[in-house]
Amino acid sequence: MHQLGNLIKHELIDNLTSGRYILTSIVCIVLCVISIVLMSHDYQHREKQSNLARGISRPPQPLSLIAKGTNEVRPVIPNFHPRYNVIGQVFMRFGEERHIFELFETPDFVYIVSIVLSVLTIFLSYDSICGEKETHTLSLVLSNPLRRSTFLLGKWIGGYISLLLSFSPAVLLMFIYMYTFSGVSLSSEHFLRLSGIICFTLIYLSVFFTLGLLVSTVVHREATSLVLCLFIWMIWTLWIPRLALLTTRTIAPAPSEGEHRQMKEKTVTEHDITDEQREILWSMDDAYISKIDRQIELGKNLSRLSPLASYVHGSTTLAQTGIPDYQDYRRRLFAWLKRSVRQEGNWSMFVHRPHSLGSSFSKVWVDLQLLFLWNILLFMGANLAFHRYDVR
Amino acid sequence: MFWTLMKKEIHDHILSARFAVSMILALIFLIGSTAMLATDKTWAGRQLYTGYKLKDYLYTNKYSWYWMNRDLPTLRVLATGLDEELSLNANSEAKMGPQFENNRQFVNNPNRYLFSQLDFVFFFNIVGSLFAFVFTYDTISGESRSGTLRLVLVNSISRPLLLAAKFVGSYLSLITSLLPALMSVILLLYLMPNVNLLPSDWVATSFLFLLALLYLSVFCALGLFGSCLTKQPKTTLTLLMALWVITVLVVPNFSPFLAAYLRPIPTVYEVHENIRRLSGDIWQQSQAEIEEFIQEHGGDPAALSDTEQQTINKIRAKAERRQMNLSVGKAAEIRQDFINAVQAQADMNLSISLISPSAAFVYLATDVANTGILSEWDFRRAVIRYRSQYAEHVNIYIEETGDYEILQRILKADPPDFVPPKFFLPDVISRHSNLLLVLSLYNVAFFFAGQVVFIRRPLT
Repeated sequence: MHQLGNLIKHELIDNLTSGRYILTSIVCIVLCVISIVLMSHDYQHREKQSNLARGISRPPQPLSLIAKGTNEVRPVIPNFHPRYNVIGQVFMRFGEERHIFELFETPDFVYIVSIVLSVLTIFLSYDSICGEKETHTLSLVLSNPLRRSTFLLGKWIGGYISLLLSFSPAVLLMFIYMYTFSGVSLSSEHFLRLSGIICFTLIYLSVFFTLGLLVSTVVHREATSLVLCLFIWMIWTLWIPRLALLTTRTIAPAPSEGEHRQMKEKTVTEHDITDEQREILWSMDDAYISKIDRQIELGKNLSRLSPLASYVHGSTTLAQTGIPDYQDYRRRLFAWLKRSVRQEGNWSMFVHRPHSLGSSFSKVWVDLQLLFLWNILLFMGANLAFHRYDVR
Repeated sequence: MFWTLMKKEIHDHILSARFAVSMILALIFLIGSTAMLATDKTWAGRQLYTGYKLKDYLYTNKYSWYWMNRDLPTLRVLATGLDEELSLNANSEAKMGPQFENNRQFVNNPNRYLFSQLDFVFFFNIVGSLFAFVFTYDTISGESRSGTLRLVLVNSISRPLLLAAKFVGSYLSLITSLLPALMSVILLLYLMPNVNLLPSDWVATSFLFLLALLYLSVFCALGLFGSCLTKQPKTTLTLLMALWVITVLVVPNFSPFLAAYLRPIPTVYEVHENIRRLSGDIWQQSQAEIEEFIQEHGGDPAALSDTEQQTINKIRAKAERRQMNLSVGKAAEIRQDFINAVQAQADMNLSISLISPSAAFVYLATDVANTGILSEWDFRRAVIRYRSQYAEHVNIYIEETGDYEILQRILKADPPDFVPPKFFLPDVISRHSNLLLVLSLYNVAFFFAGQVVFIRRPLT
């Protein structure tokens, strides 16, 4: 225990005085602050839009400042006659001003963490073992009566605490800006959700830190370790979630809205339909929605092969901007439309109620477990590889 | 001597593990994404949706709505660009302004909002640039560290020549590793039954490939510059990765939001609200006229004679004509002002994002594939132009015949055809010449910076 403490202390001092940790800290601060300022401006614009779009508008969620997710999915009903066709009537338009935002992903906090900070985390750990080997300090350290697993654990804990310390000023500044200047009122529930997102962030970053550690116990040169880490990172974070999306669209295709409308027109050809025919059309709509939902679920599950997908799904769900929130909003909206038509046009006010805190946490449980699992597997792999590592 | 050095460089690279890894990854990435995008039912569904609208067009003899369609861009399999946000149709009523339709339906798979599309452009933008760094990071610093640089320079070889040979050698090795994947993509485009490329599309595809290679050369030059600047390959790689993160992952993503912050524009709802107000004034005025007419003729609308009823219908028809003229006059001006503001914001975005070659590449590539911002705006402008043409046609018809029914049945007087804008490669190149210039300049600047640093570099 005393040895472990010494190792951690030594690792902490080494890291916190090194250039790359200071650089990482600066990059985090700059990116997080710029992101929160720009996203606050974007939020105000979206809020203005939401106020002007009458009726069924989905208001921007306060935590979309840091995880925009599907909060942009905002439908409009051009003609308020959902008697024949619930789906067909609910179009979704961003409006002309959104085009420049379409070619690249939104640079919110979740993007910064999932893509940028995951690479930076790898920079901090890729040479943990092979770097020490190249400088010949590894054989010296291990010539003492020190167990290899204790050494590895010390490296991991020391390095990870250093990472947290270099990351925390950015998060603190972001919180201060959100609370003070963003113009968004945050309740205690939002702070709990925010804490959940930060927990997710820490576990997600630890996956990449452990990945760097694992690779550094497999190879013997720092440069090789970095190149290998980058290739793995590329496949794991950039390729798998996107490939999952494409694969789902290919193996579980859902008919387009146009095809669906054609099918409905073949079923009921009359223009003035009876209540029974209307119910038949609506049941076809429900079947179509279930098909889309199956595609969504398959895509989500396939993409979970990447920790990035687990992190994005988890964080956006906690921020009330995730896929479950979109599905819930859609379900409530259609139920409201149908209820109003069945009550002969008695249009009550549609009020959107996002998921409760408990419900959101229950939905992120799988992603949290997966992230933990990756951590454990990678650390076990690193431990195993380090036991067989030639330290000379 | 140049050839010998270059050949040695290529030989070294081809035998290295990174050559094999990049070749395999490129094959998997490019073949997988192109094949999947070519068979993607979402796009096929969009085509059907367009067909559905065309079918609607047949009914316009009864109604006043009409549709303006354009074909699906065939090169979407390489560059999805705006993807579902790309307008393929616009509908319009005689008396109202146009509405643009994209395929982003509310009932859709929202995973698209969380992860961007995997396509040829994504591969070269993100993965290809990373490969370029992996191929060049140790060109000088690696040789310096192993001591071979000193040995080479003992011979009578000039430093600029050595660096040029290393640059060409690394670049050609990188291209060679990607060549099987590129050839497979061409084969896929040729063989896939869903992809029917016209000769002009093949020209655009070739240009897209050349553009990708130009983009890679920028990162090769930057990698070489970084390698000349540092002593240890590890330091070079760290420096290059920091630059990669900033230029590829940060600048292009932040620049649209920064442009929106620096040059704010009204929301699309505010614009529609202004137009609705003007439109509402016309209706109120016509309603007041009708009320006045009814009061003058006994006050009971049910008791009006057929002639009096016709007069009321005429008042309504005139109001509809004023609506139509508003939609191509003042309302069109308001829309145009908005589009100009959006364009000014987009221009600012483009200027900011030019700090990064990545943004220049993405904007150029998506526009070459007809799925970018330029093609979207051209379609929008064509729709607005057509609206004016159509209104002129209707006005002439009413002046000549006094028949206002054309406002209800648009095919009554053989309306002019809507011609969607055709977008050919020379147009894109001429309109984006600044982006091409920027990419070329980056190339030259990094290469010469590398030369200067290398000439001044001590051998120890």
